[in-house]
Amino acid sequence: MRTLLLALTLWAGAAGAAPLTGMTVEPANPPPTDEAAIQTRSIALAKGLRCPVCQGLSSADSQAESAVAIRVRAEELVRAGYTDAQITDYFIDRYGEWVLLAPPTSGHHLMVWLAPGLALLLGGGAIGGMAWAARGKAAPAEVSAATSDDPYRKRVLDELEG
Amino acid sequence: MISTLGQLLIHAALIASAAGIVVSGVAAVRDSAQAHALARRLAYAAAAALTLATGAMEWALITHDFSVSYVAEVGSLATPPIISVVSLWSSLDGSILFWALVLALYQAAFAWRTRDAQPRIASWALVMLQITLVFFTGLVVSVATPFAPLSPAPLDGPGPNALLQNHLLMAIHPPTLYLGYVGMAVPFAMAMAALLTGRLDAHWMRSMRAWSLWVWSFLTLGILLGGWWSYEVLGWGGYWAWDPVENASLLPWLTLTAAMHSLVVTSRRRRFRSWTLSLIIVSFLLTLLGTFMTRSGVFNSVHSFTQSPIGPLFLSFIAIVLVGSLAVVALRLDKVEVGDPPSYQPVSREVMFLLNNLLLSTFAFTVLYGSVYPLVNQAIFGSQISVGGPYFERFAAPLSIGLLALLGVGPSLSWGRTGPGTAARQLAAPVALGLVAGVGTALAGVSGWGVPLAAGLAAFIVTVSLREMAAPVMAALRKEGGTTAAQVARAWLRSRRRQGAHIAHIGTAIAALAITASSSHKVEGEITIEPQQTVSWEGYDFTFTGDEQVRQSYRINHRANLIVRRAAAELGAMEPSMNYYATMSQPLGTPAVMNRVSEDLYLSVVRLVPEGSVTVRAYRQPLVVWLWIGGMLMVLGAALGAWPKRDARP
Amino acid sequence: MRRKLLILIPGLVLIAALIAVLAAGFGHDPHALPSMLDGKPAPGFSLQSLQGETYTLSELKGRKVLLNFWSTWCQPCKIEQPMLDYYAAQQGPDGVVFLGVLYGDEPEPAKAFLRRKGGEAYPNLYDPTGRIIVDYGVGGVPETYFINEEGVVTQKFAGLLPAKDLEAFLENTP
Repeated sequence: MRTLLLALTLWAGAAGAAPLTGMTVEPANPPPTDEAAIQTRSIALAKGLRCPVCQGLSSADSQAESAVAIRVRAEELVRAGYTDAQITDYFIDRYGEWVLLAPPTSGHHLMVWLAPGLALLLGGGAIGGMAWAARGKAAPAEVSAATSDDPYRKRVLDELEG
Repeated sequence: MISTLGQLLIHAALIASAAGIVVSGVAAVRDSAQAHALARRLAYAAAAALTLATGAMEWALITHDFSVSYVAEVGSLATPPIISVVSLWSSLDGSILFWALVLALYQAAFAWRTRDAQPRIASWALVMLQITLVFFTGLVVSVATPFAPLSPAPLDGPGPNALLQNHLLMAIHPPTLYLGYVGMAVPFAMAMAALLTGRLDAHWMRSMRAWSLWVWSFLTLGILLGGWWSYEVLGWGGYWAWDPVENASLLPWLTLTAAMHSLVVTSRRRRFRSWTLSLIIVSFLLTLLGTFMTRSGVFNSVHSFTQSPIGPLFLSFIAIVLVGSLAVVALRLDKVEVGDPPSYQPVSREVMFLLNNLLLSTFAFTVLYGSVYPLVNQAIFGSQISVGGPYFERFAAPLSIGLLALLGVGPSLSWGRTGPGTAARQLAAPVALGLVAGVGTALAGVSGWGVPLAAGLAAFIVTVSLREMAAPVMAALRKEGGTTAAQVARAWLRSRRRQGAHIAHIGTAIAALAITASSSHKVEGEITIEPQQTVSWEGYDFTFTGDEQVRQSYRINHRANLIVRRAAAELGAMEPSMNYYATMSQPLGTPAVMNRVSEDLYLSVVRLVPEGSVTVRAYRQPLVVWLWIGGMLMVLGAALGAWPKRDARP
Repeated sequence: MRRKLLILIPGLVLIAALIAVLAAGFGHDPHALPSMLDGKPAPGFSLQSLQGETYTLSELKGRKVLLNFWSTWCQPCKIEQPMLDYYAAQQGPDGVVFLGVLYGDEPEPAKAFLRRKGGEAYPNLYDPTGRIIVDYGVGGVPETYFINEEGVVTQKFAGLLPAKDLEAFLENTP
């Protein structure tokens, strides 16, 4: 009830502005005033939202009608004081999680976020293991064709042969 | 008429390649030179039949013979001849015919190059190629039937996809990419043959390396042209969108790049043999998977044609090849490993190569997993999600930074053991130059850390590569004397592949800097200009001198004529346009791009009112041209290394 | 041998998983958008039609509403419109309310298009802010929404509206 009242007050406060249809929560913050910050946030949000009719393009990059509508809407909501999380939730409610260009970093989607790091660790572990296993052995005999006192020159000449 | 001829020819190709499997198989098992000779002839026959078949299809396309089903599907009387020619690969059936042709040509070239090789190993490779060719010609004969006769023949057709008609690059991007994609079959076949025979001698390895370098050049060029095409045509001011199909082309590129570096170690140090062969095999599997991603309609992509029975067939083929090559790798890999188990010095070039492989493999895994994850999620949880640019960029950035750092460090270290003192001496000057470039860029007022970092790394890499290119000349001058020019020429002749590699490294550094700068410092805006008015935007003055409608046979081109000035100096005219195709209800824009050394100016029409105002979306992007220059250097460097030596026939 | 099995078994498992996932993909159309509104209250709107009358969703409570997003440059829209016109003309005073909504189009070309077609069989709304597109989660056109008497979205169709679904929706309405 409190929420509803608060929402109504805020709407009344924003008299003249069109009511934000479809929003079920109230803005968490007062409307921001820094124009540059509003633009930066709106673009960043649109970059993370998929253009519904494109192939892999974000709503910030496409001129398709629905992408433009999403872009405009994101900016409106930023201006009204909604947080990024609230705005993202709003779009998920309308289009599904599918509208996010990258899955959320929570729940079972951690599978996709952690996999690359895991792969890197596994591979790095394998390389480390090999180096560890070879640690006792002597350095391999140089198969260099060239003989020289200067190790660098020697290496270069050696490579020329290969 | 053409239908019958085409049907005949593709059946002939199918028979030749099916017979080829048997004959090459016999040649491989018996090590028979006679059978090998016959297998080669069958490979030439298949190539000839498919060349003629493709010729027949081109003839039908150019003469608008709508009694051929593929022509009825993509042809149109209004289509100009050049676009009729390239519409061979504008739709599914034709592109599979083209796939088969390219594969048959590669197979014939391979048969020719290995005519004097040992029959056993060369024939095993031919078996692999012919199995692949049987699959593709089988598709053309059974389910993707471009030559199917149509009766009664329609009077006209819809014409090819308008997006493909929009730019001449469509004439070169797909064939180039195909040359890279399909060509992967050759190194794959060679790797499988090496595993099956258990023989991997220096000669075979050199030859495999040369083929891989060719394939890599084409693949790189194909990806580059694809990026360029989307930049010049799609009108959103970008060249890469992490579309599933772009990812599909990146995947084998990453693993093949890893394989080529691993091949260096394998041929110089006789190590990682099974790993190198596995990487080559995986690269081929990824091209198959990529073709599947492109063509099956399972992935959301600008390229996927409609769902068709080809999808399941293709998937079955992928499954068979996957299981088959896994079995060969698992059961035979110990046969190719030679000598002592490897030992590693932590600071050595070998370890840098290992790290390069680790990062590239992780990169490839990330792109693959990210691309199929929506399918995984759909299969397990039943919900639809997207994995796009923000995900891939998150991982691509750090992995690329690591790879770039290796590009400078690796060549500075020696094989075997490098003492800390030597390493420090080798790295000091390049690192110092890199620091100067990075800090200098930051001090010059470039915002963010990305561009200064990329500039620093680029300077580091370029210094190392230039030194490495000059070093053999200096060393030879000191040792052997002679004129500088003579020694430069000698160094290029003696170590073309090594010099080529460093050119490719320099290209990579330039491209990386260009990608970082153009993506992080892109400025965009929307401008509306009334006729004969001038509007300023980001330091540029745009004068709109009017619009113009040009009626072409297959479309109406409605363009806005703009004159661009900067600081009162005229830079030139830009003509972004809208195209109205008879077959499309929605207009398609063609952006105008002005390439400048420091930055590109890019205009895309949003709204153009006849004899009224124009609204354009404008983009300023620094250093974009350097991406194409760097990319071309990569291609050039690899091609230099791939070009066959006079003395050695692989 | 152990080494061989160590490669073979995990390899086969991975291959099986990959193929299974790819094969499962055949059942789905990757271009289809998920529908989020099914069973949820339809987002409210108050918009002017091309004729200048205002339509407010909340005032239509008690009647079924069909919302069809379309544009003059959309080919499939032109294919399904005669069907919509036909059924709209059959609705009684308490029948289903047919409402067209312009998507990515201006009122002038739309009016001209409708005039050429022989007039409007049902009102077409125009939202200059484009907000209704986001509120309903519209991707492209045509898209059609069925809203029941309680103002709840019962079904969403992306692409051509199948005639049998439309007939089922229209059944049992006066």
